[in-house]
Amino acid sequence: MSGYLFQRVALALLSILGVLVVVFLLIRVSGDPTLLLASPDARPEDIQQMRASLGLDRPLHVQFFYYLRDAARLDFGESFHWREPAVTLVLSRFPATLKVAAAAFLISLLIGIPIGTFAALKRGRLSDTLARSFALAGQAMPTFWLGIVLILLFSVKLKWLPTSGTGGIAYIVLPAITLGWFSTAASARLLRSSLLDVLSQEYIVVAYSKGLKRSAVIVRHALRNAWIPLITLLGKEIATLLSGSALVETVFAIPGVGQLAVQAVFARDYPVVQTIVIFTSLMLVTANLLVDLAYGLLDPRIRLSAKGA
Amino acid sequence: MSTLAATLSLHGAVGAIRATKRLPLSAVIAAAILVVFFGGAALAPCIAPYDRQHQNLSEARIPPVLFDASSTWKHPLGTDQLGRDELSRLIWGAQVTALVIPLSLLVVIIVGTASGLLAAYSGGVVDLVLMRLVDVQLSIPPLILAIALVYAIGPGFSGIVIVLVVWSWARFARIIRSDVLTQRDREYVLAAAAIGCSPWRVMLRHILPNVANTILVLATLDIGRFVVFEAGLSFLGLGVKKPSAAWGSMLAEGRAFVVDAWWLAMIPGLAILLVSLAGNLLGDFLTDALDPRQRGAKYASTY
Repeated sequence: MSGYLFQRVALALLSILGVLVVVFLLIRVSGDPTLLLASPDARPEDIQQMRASLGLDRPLHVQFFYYLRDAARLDFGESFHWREPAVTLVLSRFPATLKVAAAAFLISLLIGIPIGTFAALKRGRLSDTLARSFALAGQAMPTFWLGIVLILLFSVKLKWLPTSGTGGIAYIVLPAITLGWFSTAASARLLRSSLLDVLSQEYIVVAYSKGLKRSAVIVRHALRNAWIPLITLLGKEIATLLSGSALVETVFAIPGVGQLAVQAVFARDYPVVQTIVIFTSLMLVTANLLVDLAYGLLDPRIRLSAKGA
Repeated sequence: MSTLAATLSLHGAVGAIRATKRLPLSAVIAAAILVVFFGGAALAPCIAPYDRQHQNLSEARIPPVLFDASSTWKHPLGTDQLGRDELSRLIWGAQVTALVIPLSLLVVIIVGTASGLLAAYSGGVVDLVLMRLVDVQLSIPPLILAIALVYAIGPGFSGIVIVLVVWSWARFARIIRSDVLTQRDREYVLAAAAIGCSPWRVMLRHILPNVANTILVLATLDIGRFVVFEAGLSFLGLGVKKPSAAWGSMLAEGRAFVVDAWWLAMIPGLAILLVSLAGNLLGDFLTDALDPRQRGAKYASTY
């Protein structure tokens, strides 16, 4: 297990380093930020001085070294547009994003698991067909459009929930459903196929043959094993939820990280863009690492054959 | 290039599809939707009832025909706030997406397949480096990466193609790699190498045809993913805006009028949903027809 642990942690650190390199290169590709910052009538000497103060006149590898040093200190510069340290700004926007994401995640499990289980147990019947159609449509549906449909239905027509903004629970319901829709469909679909797979195993037949009740077989023998693949989906769900936040926060006017990312691109504010990429990637890599470790604990086959992973 | 084209000539795929006793209705409908989508976009100048610039403020915000008695067949899907015909805008707006998708798919197929093949067949350092690159790409949430890419290279046609390729190649490479790994030690591969085929020849002429089905399935499933992703970027204002607004931008514009003119946001959204659903349905059908043992598990678990 310690070998497996070490390997996973090393890979995660390598990925984070890779992300830092990618971000560094992207920012350098995007052009000279001093041209954005300088006033139109700035003299060439002024621009030169500005470049020097930002460290842009140094050779690339020196710039990279300072960039890594600053990253280690969690210093990504000051936002051009919002005039505060990019890290503070991004961190102040995280709670709004996490609230909606957590609610969306909860919805995806509370609705996705029953639908997936139900569909697998009623395989081939009408309810299975309905559940599968839901999953298929859920994965094809554009999130932002679903958000607008929900606003039109529940806010404009029925006037049950607020259209946008932040506040109490009522403000989270529609964004969370919108954001969680895809994940709900994905987990329902994966659980269905995984449960069908497990139900055809011999140990299920054994469980039945020793006289266990159907419910006991399903809960204690089938679901316990069928859930394992769902854990790998967890890491991907974090990616989906963080990605989706840009769209959902734009639709519902939630001041979160996703909305900030879009605004920062329009403001050409690279300290903010790079901070968001690095922070969200950090969350994703950590989530994936935890998933790998949980997987190792839950499934002895993986723990014992770490080399294969 | 001709070898590649030849080996990718749907090796066995046509036969396998023929072998399924009858085509499921869903696959037929899905194919029809895709034909209408790509065909409609290509023929936009001939079939769109109005020019893309056509405005008429006296005919602003007419609802679609079926929803209002006062509407006429002059504007079957109604008009927008500037009196532009919604059907025509939809047809013109399909052009960007219909061009971006095949182009991005082509690049993804080439880059993804090449890296997957190379990583699995050469192993060692090449495999290590390529797979760590895949890891890095999969470490950044897709839409956040796309936003950063648009920041770096600017919005526009080539920007979107690059975003889609960067988003999809890693998943492609990883699945192709695991497929090639199952082939690498088969006897036919060892035999080809033993009689002196160069590694390139072994990869392109011997292994590639045996993973062609996977490539086909992955590419088909990508159609739906690409449509939604591209629409999402356009919705955020990071997509292609000229010469005609893509469906995602139409949706974003229509959002402002959702109370008085709901159809302006609903219609482009439905169009996006239909095309992406069609891509997914066709992908599912191909998975079942070409790779029955998998039943989607292989593709569902990785993205």
